[in-house]
Amino acid sequence: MKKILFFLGLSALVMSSASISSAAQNFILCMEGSPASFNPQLVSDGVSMNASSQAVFNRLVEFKKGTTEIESGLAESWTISKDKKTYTFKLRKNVSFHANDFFKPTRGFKADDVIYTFKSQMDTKHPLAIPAANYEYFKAMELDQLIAGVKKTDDYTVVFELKRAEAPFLADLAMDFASIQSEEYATALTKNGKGLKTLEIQPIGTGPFVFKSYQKDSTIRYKAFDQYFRGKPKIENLIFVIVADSTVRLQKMKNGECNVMTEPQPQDLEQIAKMPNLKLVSTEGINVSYIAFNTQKKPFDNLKVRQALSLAMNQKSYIDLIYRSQGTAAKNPIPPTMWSYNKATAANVFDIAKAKALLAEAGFANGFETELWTLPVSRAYLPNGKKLGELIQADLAKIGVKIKLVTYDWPVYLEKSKRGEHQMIQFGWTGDNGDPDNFMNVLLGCSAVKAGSNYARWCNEEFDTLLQKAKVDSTPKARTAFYEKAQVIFTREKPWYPIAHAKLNKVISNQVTGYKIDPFGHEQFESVDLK
Amino acid sequence: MSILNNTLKIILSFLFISLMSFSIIRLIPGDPVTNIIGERGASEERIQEVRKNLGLDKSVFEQYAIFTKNALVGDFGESIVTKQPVWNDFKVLWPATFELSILAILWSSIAGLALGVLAASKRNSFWDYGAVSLSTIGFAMPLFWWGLLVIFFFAVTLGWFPVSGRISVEFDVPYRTGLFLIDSLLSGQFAAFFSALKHMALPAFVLGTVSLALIVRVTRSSFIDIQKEDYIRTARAKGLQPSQILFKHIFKNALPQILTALGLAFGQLLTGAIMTETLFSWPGLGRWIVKSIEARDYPAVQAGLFYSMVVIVLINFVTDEMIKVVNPKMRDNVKL
Amino acid sequence: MMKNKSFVIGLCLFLFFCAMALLAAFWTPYSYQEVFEGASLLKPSARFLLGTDDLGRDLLSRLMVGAQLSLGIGVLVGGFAVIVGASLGIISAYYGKKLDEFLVQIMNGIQALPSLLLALFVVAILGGGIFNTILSVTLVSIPVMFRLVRSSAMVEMSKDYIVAARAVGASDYRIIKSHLFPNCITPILVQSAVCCSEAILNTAALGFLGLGIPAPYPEWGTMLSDSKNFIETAPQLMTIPGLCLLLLILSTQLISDGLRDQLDPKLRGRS
Repeated sequence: MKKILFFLGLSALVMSSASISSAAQNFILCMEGSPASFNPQLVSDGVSMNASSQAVFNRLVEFKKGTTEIESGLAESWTISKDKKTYTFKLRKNVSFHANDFFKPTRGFKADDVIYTFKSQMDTKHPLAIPAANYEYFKAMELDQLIAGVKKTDDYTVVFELKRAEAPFLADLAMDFASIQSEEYATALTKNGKGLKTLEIQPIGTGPFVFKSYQKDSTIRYKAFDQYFRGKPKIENLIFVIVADSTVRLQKMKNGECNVMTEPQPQDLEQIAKMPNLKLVSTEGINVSYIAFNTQKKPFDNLKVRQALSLAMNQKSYIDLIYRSQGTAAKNPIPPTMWSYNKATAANVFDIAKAKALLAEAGFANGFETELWTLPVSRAYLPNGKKLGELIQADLAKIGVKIKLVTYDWPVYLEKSKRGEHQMIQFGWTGDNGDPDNFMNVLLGCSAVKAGSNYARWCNEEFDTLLQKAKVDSTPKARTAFYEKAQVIFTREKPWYPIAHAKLNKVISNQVTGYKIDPFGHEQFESVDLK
Repeated sequence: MSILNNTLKIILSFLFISLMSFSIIRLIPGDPVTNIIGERGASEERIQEVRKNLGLDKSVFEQYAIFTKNALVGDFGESIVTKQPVWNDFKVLWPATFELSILAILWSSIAGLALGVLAASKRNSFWDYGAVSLSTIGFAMPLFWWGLLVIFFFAVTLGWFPVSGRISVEFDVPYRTGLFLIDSLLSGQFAAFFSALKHMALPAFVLGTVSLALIVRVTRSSFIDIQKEDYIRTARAKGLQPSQILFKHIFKNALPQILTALGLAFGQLLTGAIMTETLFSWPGLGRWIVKSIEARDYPAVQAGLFYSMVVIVLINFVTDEMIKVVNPKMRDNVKL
Repeated sequence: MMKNKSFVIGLCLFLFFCAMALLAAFWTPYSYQEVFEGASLLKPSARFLLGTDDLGRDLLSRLMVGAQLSLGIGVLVGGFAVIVGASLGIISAYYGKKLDEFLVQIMNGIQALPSLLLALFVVAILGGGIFNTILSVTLVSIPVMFRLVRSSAMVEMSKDYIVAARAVGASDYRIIKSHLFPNCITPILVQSAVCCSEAILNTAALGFLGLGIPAPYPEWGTMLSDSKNFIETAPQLMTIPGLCLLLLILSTQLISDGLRDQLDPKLRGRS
């Protein structure tokens, strides 16, 4: 007993002195989950992307920090042919890859690495493709059906041939799965017996930080890469600490155990803003949350019912209470920061009398009973689906519509809704590449009904034709016109009740300088420093 | 009992445990593929492709056969989420839970024994009332609430302990046993040892609460019982020192009951670990199993269940044998 | 002496929560679902005696309805555990042999998993909802009841009067009803209170993990997990439901301890 007390006391002493000495060069990010893999080609969640592609890798083209604009990455410049089917990239010279305990690169980055990166994802029989890997994201963006071939004309020039013109292609290349892997590393792994699986646990890239170690579910460590082509990052040791519970994460932040914290809960923000040693940074997210009406089911096939329910929902209270004002009221399927957003469409109106009248016209003067499925997971676009459900339930009760709240855990929720078993359902979407096609076609296109991501199961020919036209055309002006028109149809037909575009928030400590919040939710630390 | 009988029992237990761990997760609707695909949705062909890659296209019997065959040699396959052998995850996670459990049991049994003996020897005193109330409240305590209060008070308000995690980030302890307390000493990093200990203090405190209650209770009641026995009276009449009576007679006779309680407490720790690990972001098995269930990570859940069932069966077996050896007459209604 | 006092305290607490739940059936200050606009996170006041939650709902009303849920589930599960667990225990002890071995193995099987994990699985397999939650929590509590009752019944079985009754040719039903059951009533009563408290705890734990009782029901565990983010801004939101939970569980345990003392003189003085 006494001994333990003695140890505890001693440990307190030792600790308090130890933590001061080495704090200056450590930069700590406290985040909400563990990465699934360190190979950006195989991951689809934000946490894994931050841990792999953003810290360790670069892409041919990249999103300009803090925006959705494309800028040069490992490609210095590029040209697009007249028929929009050939893209030629000039690669940057003198870019080095990282080294680790068992791999020392003998050459810098060149065309072979680009070819390897894409060919291995296109062809599962490629000798350097990871066995049994599925390259989910690459296929989800349909690049396997788009790219006809990749070849090099010299060591620093790569040419992509496409099967058809596709406007969002360049944006696709800036996405995480397109991160450039080292061909030399992959070859070495197959030769030294470590195997390609090692790409998932010990990544080698060209990025600002070198991967050092990962303690499962606990800490990831990186070191600044002194040969980084944009210049060595200012922080020496980058450490990601995994803290699943949002309350605990905030307490850690307050205790000075983190420099940056992801996903603060909306209700904590007010309090955080008042704290002298913490700073709140936010940006408009590229996301949307919505209630989808299953238009294949009665009574939601009736436009009047959809209109009536939309009128009865008090959007303002959802923004106030669920998002704690950290969101913008939505009316279109795409967020206002995205190009081609149509400002002129009608906003959601809250009018119970009119809702009742419309409901009566539709033949439901006494209302009806239905189900609302509430999102079982907390997402950036919707922090608490259950509570939103409770608010909607109370609102719709006022026009006589009795809502039963239903929820399943995430895989079941996805499976059942994909089959269209729902009536009304909460969902949302975070954009992959900042292109409107990535919202409207994925979520409301006719082909998405079969794929399951069109949860309203709404297929409107007029709307879909506009989307297809916009996809092929690549002048931004023409595309904008098509998308703006599509949004008018959307607000008229009301397949969804759009709820909000959530702001993205991060909490940083006062010592952090140069931190820019990214609309995709990525964490980038190459230009960050501590005061 | 013959050796044959015992072997049969072990084989049956293995079959039962493997069947349970295999089937429970598959009984839950929703499969890993849907989870991988997420909000995006996918065509039927793509889903079939992913299923095939995961080996889920085979019949259930085939899958079970593969699972048991591999489990026999300790191979639990590859996690669907991390795509790494389950063993890789397992070997770093179980020491975390083990270390935490040991510390929790250690403090709760030392404190529990001390309090229990104190309460029994000074019946109806302040100490007795205090110990009994403490144990009653501890037994009723919802751990998830208690954990939050403890974090809020000791870590946030007083700032005595870190909020969560296993060790301070500036220490990078090389993996040897996976137990930070041992690894840090092996590599000669004493500061790391204390850091690990300090991080462990609050979660171990919370996790040990229920065990403490149980041990106080059992120690006190068995001491009181034994004090009434004739041979203690005789010993007293003979004029033996009270301390001698306490340790030579009472303690020795109360031991089986206390050991049983310890076994019980240890078995219950995994339940407590689920909550405690979630609250303190402790990278251990409890949290891992719950997360793997959510992701329908079949191989991970199978391995986790297999392990926890083996541990529980072993603990039950050991305590049962102990009772038989120490005191064949004892009934199994110690409490709970 | 002390035990009697704590039994009385336990009973008083329990009755207090019963009264609260009963009152909630007829009257609550407001509807537990009613959202007051602009009333989010209010401090306790004359209008809202315990303040409001983040959506602007009256905490007291929710707490009262929550008491109904927790108590209801606790009592129901205690009852089910008696019906299923105790009768199986007696039958197992009475008929012995193969049936006994079989039942014991089944119970071992159920107990092979940590209780919370098992409850979690059952809810995940069957889906959430009040009924399924009760089912899962009951399943978890049966084996302990079974073991206790079985071992008490076994002790009785070896006694002369049962052997005699059997020799005389009394029917199985008669022996169980008039000899075995009355002699097992003490462990049954004591353990049913324990089952009740475990059920309340497990339900709340499931709620805290986001499973179990679905929205919009204000189950205490769910209320706790909903409000843990407000630990500093509105501490009453998490301290009060937590305290209620603790007190309710405490009351059932005090009752079970008291019952043991009162009904089983042999055990008096033990915990």
